[in-house]
Amino acid sequence: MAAVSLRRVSKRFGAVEALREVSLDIGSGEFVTLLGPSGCGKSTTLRIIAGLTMPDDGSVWIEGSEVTRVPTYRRRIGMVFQNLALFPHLTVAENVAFGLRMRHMATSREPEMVTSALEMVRLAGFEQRYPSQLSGGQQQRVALARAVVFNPDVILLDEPLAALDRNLCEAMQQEIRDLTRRIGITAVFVTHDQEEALILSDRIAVMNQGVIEQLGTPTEIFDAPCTRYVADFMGATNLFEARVKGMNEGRLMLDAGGITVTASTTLDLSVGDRAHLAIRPERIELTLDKPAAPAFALEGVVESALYHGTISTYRVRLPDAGNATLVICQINRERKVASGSLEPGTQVWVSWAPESVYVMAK
Amino acid sequence: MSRTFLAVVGLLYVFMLAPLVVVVVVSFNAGTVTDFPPSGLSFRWYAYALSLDLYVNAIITSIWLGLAAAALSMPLGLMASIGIARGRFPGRDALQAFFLAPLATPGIVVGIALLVSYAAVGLRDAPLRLLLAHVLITFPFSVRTILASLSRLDPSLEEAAATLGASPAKLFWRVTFPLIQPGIAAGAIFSFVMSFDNIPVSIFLTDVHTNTIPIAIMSYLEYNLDPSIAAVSSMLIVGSLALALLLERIFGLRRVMGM
Repeated sequence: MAAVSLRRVSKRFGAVEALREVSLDIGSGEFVTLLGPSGCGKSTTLRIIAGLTMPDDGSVWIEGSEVTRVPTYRRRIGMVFQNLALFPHLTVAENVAFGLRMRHMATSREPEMVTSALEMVRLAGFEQRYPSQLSGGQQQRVALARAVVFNPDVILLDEPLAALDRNLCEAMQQEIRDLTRRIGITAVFVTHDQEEALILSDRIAVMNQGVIEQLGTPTEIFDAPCTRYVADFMGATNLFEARVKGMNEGRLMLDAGGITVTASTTLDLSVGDRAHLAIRPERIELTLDKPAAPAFALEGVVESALYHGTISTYRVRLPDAGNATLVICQINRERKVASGSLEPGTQVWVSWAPESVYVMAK
Repeated sequence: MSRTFLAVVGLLYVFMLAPLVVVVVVSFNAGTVTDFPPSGLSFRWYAYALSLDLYVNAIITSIWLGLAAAALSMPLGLMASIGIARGRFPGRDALQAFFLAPLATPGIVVGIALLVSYAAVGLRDAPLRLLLAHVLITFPFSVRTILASLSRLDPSLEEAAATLGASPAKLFWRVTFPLIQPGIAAGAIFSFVMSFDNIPVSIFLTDVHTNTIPIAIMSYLEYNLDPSIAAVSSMLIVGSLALALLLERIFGLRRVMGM
């Protein structure tokens, strides 16, 4: 039985179709991230699970019972809001105890439960402070403690880290991951940050224009995107349209802008079919001399080179492929070409293994 | 800041405050006429003003009237504001405009309208006539201040309370109400001041036995011109200054005005 289920949920806001028949099953104790750009419907989905937005169509189930028309305050959910929404007129302890009091839980055990919730987020001793007296990270942890203290069926997190600076954000990702795993709570997390989704999630639902484009583990989403949109959103910047030319030893031969690319796929494609190809920037080798090992290599001209510290990214134009450009990313430590020798205009060779090419039907 | 700017600001202050200073100084006059500068200093006009039933009764009336009007218009304003701020129904904007309309209607029109209406329904009791009128006068101020506090309230706080299990009633009393309380209190003080200060509506509704203080001053002025008016005015100035300080101290005047 799924902890949270959405069945063909639809929602319109005026002329905008925010969600189109979205179905999603989230297992007990699972950490699922709804990932997508703003306006893709991820926050609406979360608010529908919380009951803060009513779906036009479809049903919502939590722990096996339908809650579609159950008001928010009768659902057993905890939620962390993007702006945290800590009560400014209550102390930290009162904020955390709020859910317990509203649910008539633990009148005598309340102080104990509040203390242990605050210990869980390493904020013991801050009970009597007011939210305005805490740092951003501390406020974050209060919001987290407040959302889990009454042991809800599911915790919903709506971009809670968006406002934090990078270092704090990474620390809080760790904290959220550890906490949810430790107490074994089902979690639904909303973010537009693909890296955050990859770090935190058991499964990721990539959303686009009100539908889930792909649902899968972080590795599935990252390594085997099934649509062009997912590939693009996950940072596979080299995307090409192609047509199937033939099969060779179980491998697909595709024509992409004048060059023939070999790829392996489980998709059922026949000669003449259109497809999209994606090659991640870090999967492409860049050398000054023609590489001996992979038989497949193309000549190119460096258009630009950007140094990022750990990595460098290059744009390389391929005259043989209708002047298409590839984005190539190399780890500077492992780079085979000496730094400084890849000025724009340099003639280079690019190559990749057939396994690095993903084929997508659309 | 340049000298010219400071000079202009200084002049503006003089322009606004000079009449008040004159009134206060005149109130300490020892003579029988409103001399400025006074020929001598004394508290005699304060003693005289407080010995007149006209003033004392009017002050008492104005105080209870202001308190009662504020106490009645606050809950009404609270309910109206919540309906306008949170409700989703057609005609919401029209309703808001309607509630705030008395602010834009000339007081004398409201006064005449009430006089005619009271006569039509046969309402003769002056205290009741005044009270109803002053609830009407103060109501838009309560709506205005409470709406301002509600619009400053982060809606996710109420949503958070709901996710934490707060029913709509608990949500209101535990989260919404405590957070807009400063606005409600400020609205009440404002309402009191608006009621206390009102002439154009009250003037049609008072009778021989029930007078408000501004009306009492006006009717006294019709036949007398002695420093007792200045004494009463000075007492009102001190009273309103105290209220303004209180407002500023608790909430900050700027926020209270919805600015």
